[in-house]
This record gives sequence, C-alpha cells and structure tokens, in this order.
Amino acid sequence: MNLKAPEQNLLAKLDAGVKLILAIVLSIIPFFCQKPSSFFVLVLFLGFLTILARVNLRTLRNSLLSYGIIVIFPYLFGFLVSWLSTRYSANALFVYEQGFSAMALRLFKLFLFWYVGTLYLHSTPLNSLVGVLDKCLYPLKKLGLPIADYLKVLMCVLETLKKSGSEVRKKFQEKKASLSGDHKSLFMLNIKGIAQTIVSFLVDSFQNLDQIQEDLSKIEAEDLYSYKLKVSKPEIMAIGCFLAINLGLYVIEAGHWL
Amino acid sequence: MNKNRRYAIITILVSNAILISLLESLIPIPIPVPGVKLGLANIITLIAIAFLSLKDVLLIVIIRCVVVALLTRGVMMLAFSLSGGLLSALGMFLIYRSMSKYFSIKGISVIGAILHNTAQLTIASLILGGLVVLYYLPVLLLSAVVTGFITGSISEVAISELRKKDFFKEQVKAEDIDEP
Repeated sequence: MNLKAPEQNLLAKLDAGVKLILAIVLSIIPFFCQKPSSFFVLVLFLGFLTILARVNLRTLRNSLLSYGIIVIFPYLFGFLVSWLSTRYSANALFVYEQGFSAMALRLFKLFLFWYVGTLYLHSTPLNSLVGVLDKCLYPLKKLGLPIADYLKVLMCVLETLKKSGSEVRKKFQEKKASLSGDHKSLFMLNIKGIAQTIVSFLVDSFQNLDQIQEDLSKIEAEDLYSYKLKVSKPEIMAIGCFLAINLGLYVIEAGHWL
Repeated sequence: MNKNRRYAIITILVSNAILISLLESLIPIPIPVPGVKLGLANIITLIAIAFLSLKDVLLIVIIRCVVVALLTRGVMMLAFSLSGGLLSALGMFLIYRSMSKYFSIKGISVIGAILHNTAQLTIASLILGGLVVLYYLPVLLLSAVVTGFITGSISEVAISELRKKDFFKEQVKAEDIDEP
C-alpha cells in the first residue's frame, strides 16, 4: 500500500479530470485493436508513460503479481482442467470453445486495461483523485446521497492510516510471537490471541473517537479534497500527443501502414 | 446517534479493517493456494454486522474497498473487491439478523467467505468472457470454508469480548450524554 503522494513529474501535474478521460479512452483502445503492430505501438506508448510517471519497479511487480493471481492463474487452472477432462473423458461437455491464442489476446488486452488504471492512480494525488470522484458521483448526490460526507470519511480514513499505520504494524509485530499458537493447535494459529489483539486495537483506536468526531464536524469537504478543471499548456500537449497516438493506431488498423 | 459520531465510528472501523488486513502477511496461512487470503478485514465486517445497521455495514465495505483500490493502485481490483465484499456483507447480515438461531458466527463467516469468492470468480468469468475460470471455484470454495472458519472463530471471540465490555453501547451512551 502506498500512502505517499506521487512524485512531481509531468503526468502528476496534469489535470486529474482530463487525465481520467484520456485514461478511460486509452484503456478501451486495446479492445478495438486487431493488428500486432497496434499493440506494439500501444506498449511503447505505455512504456513511455511509465518512464514519464517514474513508476518504480515495485509498483510494476505488484500490479503484475495481483493481475496474475486474480486473473491469469484461475484462467490457466480452468483451461488445464478443461483440457485434461476433455482428453481423458472424451466428453463434449468439457470442451472449451475459445482457443488459447484468443484467450491469451484477451488476457493481454485486459492487462493493458489494468495497467492504464494503475498508471492513472499512481500519477494522481489522492486529494485530486477524491475531488474527481466527487464530481463523478454528482448523479448520486442529486438522488440525495450524502456523497460529500462519505468522501470526508474516506479522507479521514486515509489520514488515520497515515498516522497510525506504522505504529499498529510495529505493535502487531511485537505481538507476533505470542500470536502463533503451539504446534499442536489447529493450523498453529492462536485464535484467542489474535482476537484479543484485534479487540485491543479497536478499543485503543476508539479512544480517538471524540477527536475524529470533532474533526469531521469542523472540517469542510473542500479542505480535504478539491477539483477544478484546468486546461493549460501541459494538458493541451497531452491531448495532442494522445490524438496523435490514436491517429497512428487508426492508420495501422485501417491498413494504410505496416 | 449524531451523524458525525456515526461517521467517526465508521472511520475507525474502516481504518482498522485495512490495518488488520495489512497484518495478514504476519500470520501464516494454512492453505498455500494462489488467490487465497485469510480475509482478516472480514472480522471488522462481522463486528459491524453484530453491532451496526445494514446501511453502516455496507458503507464500511464500500469505503474500505475504495480506499484499498486507491492505495494499491488497482482499478480493476475495485470491481472484484466490491462485488465480493458487498455480496458477502449482505448475505452475512441477512443470516445474522434472521437465522442466527441456526448459524453461529463461524458458520456465518464461512457463508460470507463462500459468497465472497463466488462473486469474485463470477466477475472474473464475466470479464474474461468465458466460464472456464469457474473450474477454479471448487478450490476457492474449499479454501473459503477454512479461511471463513478461522476468521469466524476470531470474530466470535472478538464480538463476545466487545459485548462483555458493552463497547458499542458505551460509544452511543457517551454521545447521548454529549448531546445538548
């Protein structure tokens, strides 16, 4: 988990709303591409953005790892079971219609979709991000939902995590030895010890209840997050660059080049 | 209860759910299967189910999922965690309120874990556009029984400890005294 503000780079300075629209379009583009050259251009462009956003290797590894665990592993497992069942039972019920290459292409497109989202979140400060979320949830506000209050809670959670995250981890690590049960107990877990630790965390954190309540009543939503559309030179350049890439992809897909 | 007090309680519970889930790496998991987590955050959901309203429980789950997605930089993660979190919270709440005679906290937690994994895999199969990922469901369901039982056991002890202390009643009572 990363509570640090994104580094000051060209992508982080871009308007969060404009960047969101570009990110949404960019994440959908792979699903309209067919030619390998288009994917090559897209991957190059994303690589360029990765360097521009100064994404560290750890973020990349985590993104790849979670994608692998959540999407690729279950798929490969299912594909293997389906293939083995078909091979050994000869039952048509187990035949999986979609070819491996078609599915691999879909997995790759989904990865690009996933990666654009990671890049967007990595390069956008949290307060601007929540500000954009506030604007996006305007229809729900109109329906009478107290979105501003919910987002205030969200920002307070982030603040609480910043303040107490490392302290709680330290406390838990101190208790770790006592939390592992003896080797005879089920799964070597000390259920009662963990429960008591969690209760003591809860009781400790509830000591700040009055303070948090006071903060929530005093602080205005605008103090925690804000968003105002800003279109200046970097945004115009980003839109221009984005349109040029799209034009390039259109030319490739239409068969006019490569 | 004053709205800010309610939101303060929700803030604390969400923060604790996220912090507790960060601590999962420190606890050995009995099933080394990719994609299987203990789901310690579920303990806070169960505590919320035992003491708060459905609206608050769902709000806790939604805010937790959004915060985790923002911090782990995973947009697609949001779809997975929201679907699993909301379905399991709703299912556990309904069972706790209407069938708690027949199900212990452990049982409710196991059902919650099963609903959570089923919802996540259904979303995965929708995204992938194929049912082949559902072959992984038996593995996840089996692990849900184990992890649900563990988190349920921890929740059962935690809830009874909090009940003994009259903890949530105390928070509301304090508010009543503070109120003009």
